[in-house]
Amino acid sequence: VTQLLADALDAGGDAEVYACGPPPMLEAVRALCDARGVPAQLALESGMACGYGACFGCVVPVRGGGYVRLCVDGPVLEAAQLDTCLTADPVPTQR
Amino acid sequence: MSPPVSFCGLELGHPLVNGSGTFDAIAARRVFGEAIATAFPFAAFVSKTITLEPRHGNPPPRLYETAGGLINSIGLPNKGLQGYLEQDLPALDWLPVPLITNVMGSTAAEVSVLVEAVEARPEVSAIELNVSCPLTAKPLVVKLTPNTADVSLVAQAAEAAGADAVSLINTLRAFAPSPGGAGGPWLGGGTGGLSGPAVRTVALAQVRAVAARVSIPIVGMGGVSSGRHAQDLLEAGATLVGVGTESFRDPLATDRIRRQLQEIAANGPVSAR
Repeated sequence: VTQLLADALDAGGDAEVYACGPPPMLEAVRALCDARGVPAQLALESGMACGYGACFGCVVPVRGGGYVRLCVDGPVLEAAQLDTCLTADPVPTQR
Repeated sequence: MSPPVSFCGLELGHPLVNGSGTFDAIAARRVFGEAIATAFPFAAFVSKTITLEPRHGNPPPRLYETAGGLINSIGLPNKGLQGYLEQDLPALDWLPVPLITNVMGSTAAEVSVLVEAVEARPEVSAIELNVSCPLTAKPLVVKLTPNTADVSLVAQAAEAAGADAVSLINTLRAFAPSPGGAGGPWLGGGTGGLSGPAVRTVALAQVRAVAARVSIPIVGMGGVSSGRHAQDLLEAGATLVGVGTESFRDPLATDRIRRQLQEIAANGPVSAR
């Protein structure tokens, strides 16, 4: 997937990338777009306790420090906000 | 309607309050609108913990679901005292019930600054505290950790130091292993705190133990998800009952719990039916 994306981005022309998927893939997409200055929006996932902004359980770290809540500030974030997608929950919350 | 409850001089409509950090009145109003102001589910609103300086909280993941429970390692993210006083208190001016502000400091001096600043605000009716016991004019509720050999001794110490009430239980320290194996933690904070149905019987035991040793009122909480559970804590010696993790599943669950509690009160004890 990421090789196809790299080829497409390198073929030239205007592009904006919209992606969802597992954190390692989103991280690859983010890095590819970041290196080329291509805007991207990424749909992230996390386990949530409340879902409306009360519990602060579903956060991801953002550039410049601090966290945003995926339930109220996401789940789709501008890739430029992020240093990495890898801290998003890699698997659903365990039982 | 259930009879009003008197708690540290506050007259409350019923005995159900939220556990700190499990319900956010400002976020709830954003989601539920005016309805939350006219039918607020709790008899008093307990804020999330406020610290002197702003905190970002712990790195994620912050949550782990267990059989019958939830482990969290949130790390007390908050705007800090100044942010709370300047942003949150004005945003709570619609609150139809007393506000209990929860504060935590890492030194006695820090706690004093927090308590004095919060106490000076007319919007705040009482203060809940995680550690030591400064003198206050407004009621001071000391929240007790269950992670101790004998919680009733800690409760007695809080009472002797001037606490007006104690609340318990806080979460039980717990560890969630990373699914990757190798013994590492799943939670970014390392260990977390277990709450939910799994801890309810622990709360019952600890509230009973504390009630036998102190005469100040008790806010009992831990795994309450029905009126029966709330009634059990009241019978164990609690004056108020906190609802926490159940509010994550349904922020308005306490409406149902209150109705169930009223039904139980109306029907009298099971043995008398």
